[in-house]
Amino acid sequence: MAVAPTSTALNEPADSVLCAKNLTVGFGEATILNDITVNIGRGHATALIGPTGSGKSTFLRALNRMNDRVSGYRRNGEVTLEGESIFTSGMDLLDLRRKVGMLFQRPNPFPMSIRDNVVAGVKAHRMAKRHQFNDIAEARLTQVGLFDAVKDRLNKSPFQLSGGQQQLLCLARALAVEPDVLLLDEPTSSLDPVTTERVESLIANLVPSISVVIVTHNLGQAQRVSDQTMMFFDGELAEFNTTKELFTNPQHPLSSQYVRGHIG
Amino acid sequence: MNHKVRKSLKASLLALPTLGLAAAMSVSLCSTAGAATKKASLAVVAPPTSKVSLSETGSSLLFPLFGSWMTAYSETYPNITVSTASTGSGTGISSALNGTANIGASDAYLSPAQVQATPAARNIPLAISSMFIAYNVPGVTDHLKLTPQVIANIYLGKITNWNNSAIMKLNSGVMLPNLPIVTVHRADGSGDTFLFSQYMSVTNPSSWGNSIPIGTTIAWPNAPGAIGATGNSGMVSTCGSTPGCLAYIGISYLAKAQLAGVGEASLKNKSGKYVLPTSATMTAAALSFASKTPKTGTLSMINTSAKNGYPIINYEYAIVLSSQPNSTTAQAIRSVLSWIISPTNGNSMTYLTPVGFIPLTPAARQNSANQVAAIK
Amino acid sequence: MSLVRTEAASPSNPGPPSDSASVRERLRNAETVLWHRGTFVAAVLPFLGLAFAITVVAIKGWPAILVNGTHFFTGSTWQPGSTYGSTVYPHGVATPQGASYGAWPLILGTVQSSAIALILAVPISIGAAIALTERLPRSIARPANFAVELLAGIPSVLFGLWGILTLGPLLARDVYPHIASIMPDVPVLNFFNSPTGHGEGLFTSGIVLAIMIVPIITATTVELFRQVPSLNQEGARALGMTDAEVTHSVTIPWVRNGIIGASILGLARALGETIAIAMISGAILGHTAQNIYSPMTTIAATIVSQLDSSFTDATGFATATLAEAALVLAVISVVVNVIARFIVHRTGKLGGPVGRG
Repeated sequence: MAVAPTSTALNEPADSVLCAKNLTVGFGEATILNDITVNIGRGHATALIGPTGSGKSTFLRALNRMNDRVSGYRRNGEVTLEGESIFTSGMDLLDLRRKVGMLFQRPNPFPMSIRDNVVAGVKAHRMAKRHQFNDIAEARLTQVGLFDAVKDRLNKSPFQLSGGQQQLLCLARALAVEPDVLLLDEPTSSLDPVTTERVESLIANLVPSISVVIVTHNLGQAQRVSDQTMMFFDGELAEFNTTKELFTNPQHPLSSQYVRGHIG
Repeated sequence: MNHKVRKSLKASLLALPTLGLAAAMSVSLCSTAGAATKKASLAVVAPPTSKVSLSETGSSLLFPLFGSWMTAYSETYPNITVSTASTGSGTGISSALNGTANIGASDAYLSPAQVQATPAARNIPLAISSMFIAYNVPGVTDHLKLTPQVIANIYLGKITNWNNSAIMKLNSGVMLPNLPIVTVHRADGSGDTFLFSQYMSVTNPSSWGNSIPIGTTIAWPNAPGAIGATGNSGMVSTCGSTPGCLAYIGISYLAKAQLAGVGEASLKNKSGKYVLPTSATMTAAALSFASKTPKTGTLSMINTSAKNGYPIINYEYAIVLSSQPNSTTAQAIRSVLSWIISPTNGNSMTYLTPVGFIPLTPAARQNSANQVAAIK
Repeated sequence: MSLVRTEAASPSNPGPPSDSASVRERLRNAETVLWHRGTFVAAVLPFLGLAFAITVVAIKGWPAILVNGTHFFTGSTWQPGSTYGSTVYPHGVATPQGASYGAWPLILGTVQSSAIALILAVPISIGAAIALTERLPRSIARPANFAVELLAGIPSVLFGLWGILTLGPLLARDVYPHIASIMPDVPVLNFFNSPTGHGEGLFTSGIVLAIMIVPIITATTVELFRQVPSLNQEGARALGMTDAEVTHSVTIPWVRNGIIGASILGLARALGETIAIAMISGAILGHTAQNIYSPMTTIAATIVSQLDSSFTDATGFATATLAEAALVLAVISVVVNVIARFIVHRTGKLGGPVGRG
């Protein structure tokens, strides 16, 4: 089915943190993303919606090159971060991932103490001295509202925490390396409603100092946390619009059907 | 006098020092052996007509020979089958004594304590073997000359280099390298160690003598660079790959040792002659002990006084119980052993030459025949 | 026939009794009982086996334990005594005159050679496992992995032969002299700084043992690494960690307990290895290794090399002493396992969640 984005001109390149240009991604024979061109606005929260298998997660993972290691990976087109290609050899992959952080579908703490989890990235990027680690850990845990719950067991394993607490820990860990962009891949799909609400309000508070891109199946969540939304369908960008516009006045027939719950 | 002391006194009375002991034992065993005064026939005993399976286990040195013996024997007497196994002399002795094997093969004779524990135990000489002193000294092409005193001092750690003056004096004209000596001994229990320790003990009564008891395993002196090797084949390969090696190896492995570049020392005998282990020097030595072999067959044949005799020879033994569970088994064992000691059969050079053994002397053969005849 | 019908016919459920169903029910009950008993027996058997083996060895070794006393653990002489001489009766036990056994060199040799093996093998195995699971392309990793599993099954006598014929002389000629020449003459390191001998000894034994246990530890570690959830590794990668950092801070800690377990498995083989050590250790009884190149021996190698000879000791004392040595080896193995459990318990708290992800 041939679909075309209704709007790619929502953000000027100068106002965009990440830009995709004719981005095509495939694994082996299968083409997952087809010719995506889009500018993701700086300081915005952008939601990626669409049916399962529409390519939104692959698009998200293209932005910090997490697809590179998947077997059969191939790519055409370009992605730029602040105008600089993320694929050139001049781009330090590790630095890219520091600037473009990620939170996953399920919590994925490391097998180390809660404190070490928070400062793991700080350590790897040598962003602070060892004696500052405690303060950093406390600050980030406080930021995500987890400090009081774990302050007595900072040296203990994170695997004793609840799933929601683990996800908050992963968020604190991602924030500790001071990213410019945060990619969230259905970050609340495994969480209870209360924690989901908390994560949503945290995300809302990150913007505009951090640009947020969030993949979600929860249309309510997309409406609550984002101000711009990309609608993916079958590997193509069906529509890119302000969240309000896309949900109240979808331009594309597929968007219209999806937001009314007729597809996916 | 308490029980313990009496017991140990009795034991020490029974167990006199090795060489003198043979005579003492032959006397004590005479009464039980009974028929020993009569001369038994030297002819091969006919086996029973029924099918009999016998088992032999023990000495790894004797194993290849026993195999070829039994193949030939079973061709003549197909109803007798003998399974053979290479397990070591110690296992051969213990298996024969506790009845799990009919024949135990051993390079060493029974100890007084073993005879005391199992009075029916017999050690019957089957053939005569020898041992050579091996070395790996690069550049030495002719046979090195060694005396038992020098060998002892090397194993005792008193001589540590091949260019030591004591070795040079024996080998004038030979270019001996400045090379540390690596003494190699058997790490596993071995009849060869038994033989070598006897040789050292007898020839060095003061320095080696009784301080290191003879045995199939001994407490080796702490010579620098001493190493152990397993089995005669291990001795050959270790010596072959270790420049500076000095070792003692069963005569059967002489050809293999030469292939591995290992030399064979010429040993100074009691009468001052340097001799190699050949059929002639071994026979000369064996003849010198012929009249001394006791009826029990228990005899150390170390350090012959024969002019051309090689100083290290020994009997290879069959360990059997003189009273067998039934007459058929006893008859089969008599048949097998009488075939082995027969000079036209088992003791012919056809079998003995490939392993470097020599036949029993006539006196020793009569002795063995008498012991065989007494197996009932 | 469906399960639902069977359930309907079970005694607790009122329903029309069906003959075939009740027969099946009874069969199932019998099967359940059999299953429970069978698994119980299977669970108890190893303990019974261990208890039986240790009891037998302890009974066989009792005369030696009585006579050898603490000297067995501190003494260095291995003197079978005069087996062709007289018998004496210390503590009422018949022994050849002059018999005196001290197993300290064997105990130390066992621990030293196994320790060297473990120190060499664990890093190599982890490195190999990383290469096999993460670094090498699948087309190479698969056959390589197969080769590793094959290596784990090679009889130790081959390692022994190879050690004595090839590796030992090679190390003695081309490797040990260089190690010895760069080692300073300070405590601990001067253990390396001494005459390097002829290639049969402690270091060669440790190296051959390491080669023998590397496949065991590697094969197990590869399986462990495959169990590490990729989600957690991706998390580390997404944070900007290098491959090495991901391996170091996520993959290895995640399966640390398993790696310790695999290492203990390898250590157990090293402690009990017999033939290869008998061939390459230099097989020296009576004193401990003076330096890392010295000939030595271990408990297991001594038992196998001295067993036949022990039968020439008519008092049975030599055999009893070997049984005592076997008991010591069993105790060392148990102690090593207990220490390993303790380490797992102490460090395990930060490891990956068991049975999750």
